Amino acid sequence: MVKLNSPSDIEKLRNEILAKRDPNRQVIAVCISTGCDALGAREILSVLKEELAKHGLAEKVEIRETGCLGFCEQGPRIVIYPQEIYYFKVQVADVPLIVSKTLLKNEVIEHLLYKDATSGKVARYLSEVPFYKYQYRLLLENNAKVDPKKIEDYIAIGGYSALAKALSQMTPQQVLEEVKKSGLRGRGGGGFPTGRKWETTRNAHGTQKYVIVNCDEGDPGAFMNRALMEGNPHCILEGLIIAAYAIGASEGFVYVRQEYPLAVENMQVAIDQARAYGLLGDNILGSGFSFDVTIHRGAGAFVSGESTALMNAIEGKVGEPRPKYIHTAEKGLYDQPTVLNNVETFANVPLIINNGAEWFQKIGTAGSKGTKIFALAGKVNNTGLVEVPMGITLRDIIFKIGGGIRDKKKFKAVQTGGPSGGVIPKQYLDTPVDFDELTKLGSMMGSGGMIVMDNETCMVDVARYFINFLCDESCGQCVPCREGLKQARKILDDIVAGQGKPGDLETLKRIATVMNVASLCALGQTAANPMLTTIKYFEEEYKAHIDEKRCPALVCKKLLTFVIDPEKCSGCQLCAMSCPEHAIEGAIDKIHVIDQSKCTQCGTCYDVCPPEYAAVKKLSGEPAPEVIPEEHRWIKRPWQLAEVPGPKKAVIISNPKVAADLIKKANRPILVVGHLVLDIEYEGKKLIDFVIDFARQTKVPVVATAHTIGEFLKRGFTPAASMSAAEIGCRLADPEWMGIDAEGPHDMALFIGVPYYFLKDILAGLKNFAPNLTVVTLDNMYHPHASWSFPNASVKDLVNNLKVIVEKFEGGQ
Amino acid sequence: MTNSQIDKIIAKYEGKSGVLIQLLLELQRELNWISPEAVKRINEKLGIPISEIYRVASFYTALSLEPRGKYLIRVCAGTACYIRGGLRVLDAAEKTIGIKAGETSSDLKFTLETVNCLGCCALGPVVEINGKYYGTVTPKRLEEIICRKRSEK
Repeated sequence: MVKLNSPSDIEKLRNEILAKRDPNRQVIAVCISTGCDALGAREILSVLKEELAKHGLAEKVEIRETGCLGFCEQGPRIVIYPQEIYYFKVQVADVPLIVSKTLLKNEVIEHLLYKDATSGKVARYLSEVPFYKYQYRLLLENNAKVDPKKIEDYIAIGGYSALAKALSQMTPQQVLEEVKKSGLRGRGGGGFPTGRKWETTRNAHGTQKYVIVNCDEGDPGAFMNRALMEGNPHCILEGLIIAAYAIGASEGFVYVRQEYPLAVENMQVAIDQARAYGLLGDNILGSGFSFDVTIHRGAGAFVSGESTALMNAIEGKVGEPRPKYIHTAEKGLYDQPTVLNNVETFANVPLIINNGAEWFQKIGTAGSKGTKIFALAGKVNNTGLVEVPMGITLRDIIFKIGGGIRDKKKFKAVQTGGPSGGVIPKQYLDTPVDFDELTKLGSMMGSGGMIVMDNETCMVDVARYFINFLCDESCGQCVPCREGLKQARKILDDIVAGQGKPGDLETLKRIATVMNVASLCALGQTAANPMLTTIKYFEEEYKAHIDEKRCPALVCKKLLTFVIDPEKCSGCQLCAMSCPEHAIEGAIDKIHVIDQSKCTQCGTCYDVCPPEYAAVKKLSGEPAPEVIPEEHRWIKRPWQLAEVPGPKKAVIISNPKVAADLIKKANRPILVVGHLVLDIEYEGKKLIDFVIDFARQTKVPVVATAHTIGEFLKRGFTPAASMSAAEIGCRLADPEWMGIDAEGPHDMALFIGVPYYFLKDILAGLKNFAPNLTVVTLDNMYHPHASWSFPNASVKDLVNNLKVIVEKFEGGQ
Repeated sequence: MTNSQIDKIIAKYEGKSGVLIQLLLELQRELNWISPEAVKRINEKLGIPISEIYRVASFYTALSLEPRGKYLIRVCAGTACYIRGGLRVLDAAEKTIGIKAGETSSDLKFTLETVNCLGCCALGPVVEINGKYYGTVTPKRLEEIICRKRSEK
């Protein structure tokens, strides 16, 4: 790397980088941020590299490893340039197809495009995806364009031009004025005007001044700082250097919480590269201004995100807040004037310098300028990071971008601002989101966590959750916070357990007032907000718990009774098999009943009951009805079970939707396909065609047996493996076998099209020697040796069953 | 780890100010805990009072004054994971390993902890095992992962 000695050198370097780039070169951008990584992005990346090498494309096609692109739920996500094709929910098995079809033949793969869950529309472009359509992505969009580990990528998109401009064309005072004029407010929580903070530090006396990036993103439910740090660390660094220049600091720190290892790694790489180019260190770009940065890793303490506590932590001390009668802007780190801002605040600075304060002022509301990134999570359809202009309504964020509430449930409240914030009920959905409006409602902007709750969320439980969280995280220095939280937790614990007393609400409010007035730091002062707002907006719910011992949202376990509706129970045995307390009595084709004296209200039966039956019900505040007498429990069926020797026989799948649920619940299923799929025909198509649809939709990897492999490949479908049916049967029974992808044993095997006499033997082996494997046969013949089997039926039923399962996967998730 | 190895790590931080947390984090990474010997050596080499070292080591969750297991399983208990059933995942882990959150199994194979947010909120419930993240974890899946790790030699 050549050291850059003047602002014009940056421009030169940018032109050189761009000149070397072929705009028509194919680039595959793979998101490998923590979220997509958890979904398997790194495996996709390595398979992609292999596939490219196999086709001799390793040199031709560039792979770009990018940071978070926001729509985490639909990950792993990849983008193919220059066509700008966006693929969502990519699996390892899709990679060969992406290379052979999209890269080599320029064909779009339909099933990897985004499909809207509600309208069913397929989106070819990002602007057609509702999640992105209503966003205004000034900061996040660049995550797709740069590899965070390559400073050249950042420079290529105009990076460090704001720094060059500030150093060469502006005095520190002018930079400060520009930021002040822009109206930028701190993105970390309080929303203090950034320019004013900088000015105080600039004017304060001290031998040394410091700037600090706060990336101690401790608010549960917030991850926008992580995304920026992992995905585009240079934009934060550039903002930091500009801030240092404006206030006259020569030393800076980036404080990152220890839960974000990738953020630390990428920021360290960014700092090293910037230093090598002379963007950090002595005499930056020949301006005479010198500045350097050190990363300080946190060690796991929520309270360390508070500015004075964070400074204590950097000094190597216990991260406890200091009294704030002296501002850190004047006496902060090592008692010197210090500017501390949030990651997102610094990321906005280069934009303001480049585009001017007037441009920035045009975005947002009168009191809050610019965009804000929110972490949308909870019971909303589209979860992920959302960047919107200030002033957008909560309704737009939750319903237009978030796609509404999951599972067609009703919106109840949204929690903003993390543990210092509060809940906002539905009558305020049209409130414009900015610093002041949220505070008026008793909540706050905070760092931007936004957790959506549906009508199945209990507000008392939510309050208890936050108080419990803060109780664990309170540093314990001051009495109001330490003891107030403890007492509040005890009262709330009692209320959710049905032990609430009259007068509890008044006591809670009194505790809240004392904590608010007398706590040492902002965390203690705001700690009661979740409790206060839930009491304010959902007092009825508290009263139901205290007076009637009833939880209206059916959440608080101690106040619930679980019962099975005899009208709906189909006798499938799932609940009885899963109940950890063995409290459920029943048999195949027999209505199940719960023994209330044994039930511990764990809710497992409620979770496992297939939604088609939805036979398990929760009651609160009313006694369980009488159970149905033993002699009336047998269910009449239109078919007969085959005679089977031995104590175990397959459960009949009377409804294909149950099979879909079984497959969804399996962690590592495989589908074994026999040669009969080539013989059976229906509606002019062969069964193999339906099987391919099935495999694509369910994403269950296929093992092709006999000579089916050729037919699969002919149809453009690549099975995960090809071997004889006998061999896969033996492998499945081998406890040491790590599965077709060597990732671990399979927990479910689906079979279709293997001849009856042959499959019967294989299944008999699995039944006895693979006790942890669930075997499901999809054929139209009853297989007693399977765990689950369809009954004897026609080919029409067989195909229909597959179609219903495919639909279930399309419609649901 | 021998005292000389501990000394080697400490030596890197000698003569610098405000390094205690970073030093303890590195020792934690290498030793998997902050041993009494390590505390003594820091006190001798850097002159930081033992009470101060214990105060810092007991304040931060990343630092452990007891040996940790080979696998550190951290179940996210952040709001988004909580709402999506994160605690049930924790229950499953507690049952499978036979320890409570915050404890280490007697064979030093597993340490189970809750963490207040891993920042993967869109994928809740999330579990992290030795730095690898697992998204949308079900109780059953975590059970399987633990069983697999347990059977590893």
